[in-house]
Amino acid sequence: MHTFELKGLCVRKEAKDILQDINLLVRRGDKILIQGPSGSGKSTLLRAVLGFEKCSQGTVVYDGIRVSSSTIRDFRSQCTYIGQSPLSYEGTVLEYVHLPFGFKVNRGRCPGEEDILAILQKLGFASEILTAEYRSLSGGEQQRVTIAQALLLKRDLYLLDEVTSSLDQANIIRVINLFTGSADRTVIAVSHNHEWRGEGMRVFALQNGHLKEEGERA
Amino acid sequence: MNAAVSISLPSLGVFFLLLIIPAMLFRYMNLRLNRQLVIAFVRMVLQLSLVAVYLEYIFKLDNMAVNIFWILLMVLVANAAILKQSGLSFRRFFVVTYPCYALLAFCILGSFLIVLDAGTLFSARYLIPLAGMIFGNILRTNVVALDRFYSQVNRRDAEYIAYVSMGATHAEAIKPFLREACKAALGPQIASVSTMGLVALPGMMTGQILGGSSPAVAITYQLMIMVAIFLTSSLSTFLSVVVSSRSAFDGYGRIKKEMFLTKDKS
Repeated sequence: MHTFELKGLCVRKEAKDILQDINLLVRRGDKILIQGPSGSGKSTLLRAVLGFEKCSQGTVVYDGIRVSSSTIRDFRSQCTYIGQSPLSYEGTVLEYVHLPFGFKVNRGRCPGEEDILAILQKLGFASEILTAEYRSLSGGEQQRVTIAQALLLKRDLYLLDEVTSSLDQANIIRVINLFTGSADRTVIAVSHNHEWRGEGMRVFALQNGHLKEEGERA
Repeated sequence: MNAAVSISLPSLGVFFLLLIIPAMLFRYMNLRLNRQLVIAFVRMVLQLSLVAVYLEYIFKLDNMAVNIFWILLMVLVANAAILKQSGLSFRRFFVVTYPCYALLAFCILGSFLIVLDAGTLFSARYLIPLAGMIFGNILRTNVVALDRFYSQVNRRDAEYIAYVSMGATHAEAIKPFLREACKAALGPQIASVSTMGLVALPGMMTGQILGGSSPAVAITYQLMIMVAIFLTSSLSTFLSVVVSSRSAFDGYGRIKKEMFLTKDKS
């Protein structure tokens, strides 16, 4: 995916305008941070991009193709969404990391153990983590394993909803570096953590349903 | 063996008077259940009296077309009760769930041919009570499964979104929720099978023994019906969730709110 654009996106829920006339052009490799007070519609915006919120107006366009019920699967296959709370899962960390590769579309793309370990080590884990029970990990550890799982999918666009909210300072930096370190990776992150406001980040504020760019930081 | 001794209506009426005891207990404990108690028992008396009248008529008629119509009606009532108690709209789900339940009913009834000959099975005296026992016993499992499935999908929608965004198809994304719903519905059913005869004497067996059958014959029928009930419960539980979920989500994989009954806010 080279470009993706939100054109006049509006979301209305229970007679309340949550998002109003959202316009955003994202090019390959862009790193976007969306900030705003709680309840301002940041998570709704990410869900709307993925087609999980009904838009009263507006469209999402990727590489010139309008996202509709017939193209949504193709669009989603190029994105990865990570929420603020990790999935509940019974099994080892290795089995959990393999979970998405059991889905038909990802079969045959399963990463080797070395690749898995390399990503997990970048996220601060030792190799023993692979055999640990996923459920026995702390919330922050589960979140980092979920981030590793998402990165191994090697998608074009990452939609991150408060992924660092349960992490300590050192791990927040690790995660941010992983997402912003690659020029090819397109990232839209919603976060309260100020650490995201780093170099090359396009920062937007979402307030009263309107999205405004603060200006690219050099 | 002799047939069951008939009970006179006046003595049955006196037996009903014993219900005054729980009614007084409810009143003493201020449970406010007496109105429901009276309505429930009045309904039961009316329904069973009607059943007695029309079963008498259907047994006498013993016509295949009437029997099939009767089974289809039975399945319809079961389907409506399952959807209503699960909080799902009958009008919107009926089109997909009814053919599924009806087909299952005839397949399961057909499977009785393994143990009964066609002449016996297709006589109204066998076919109607067997169908009634099976469909009376799948209500709970289906309601638990549907209720659990949709409440979990609604509550843990972030999880569903995560699966879809990892590349899961609809069928792959609902699998963890389907697994949980089936487990919740069928676990207690398996437990009740394993304690059968120890905790409670099964109704069909008791009825047959009272009706004059030998305990050995009654037990073989009970074993057969238990297999049929479990088979129907498990298959209908799985099918009702899978089939209904195809209508419950739109082309974007979003759950359609209009498919659910709106809960009374009072």
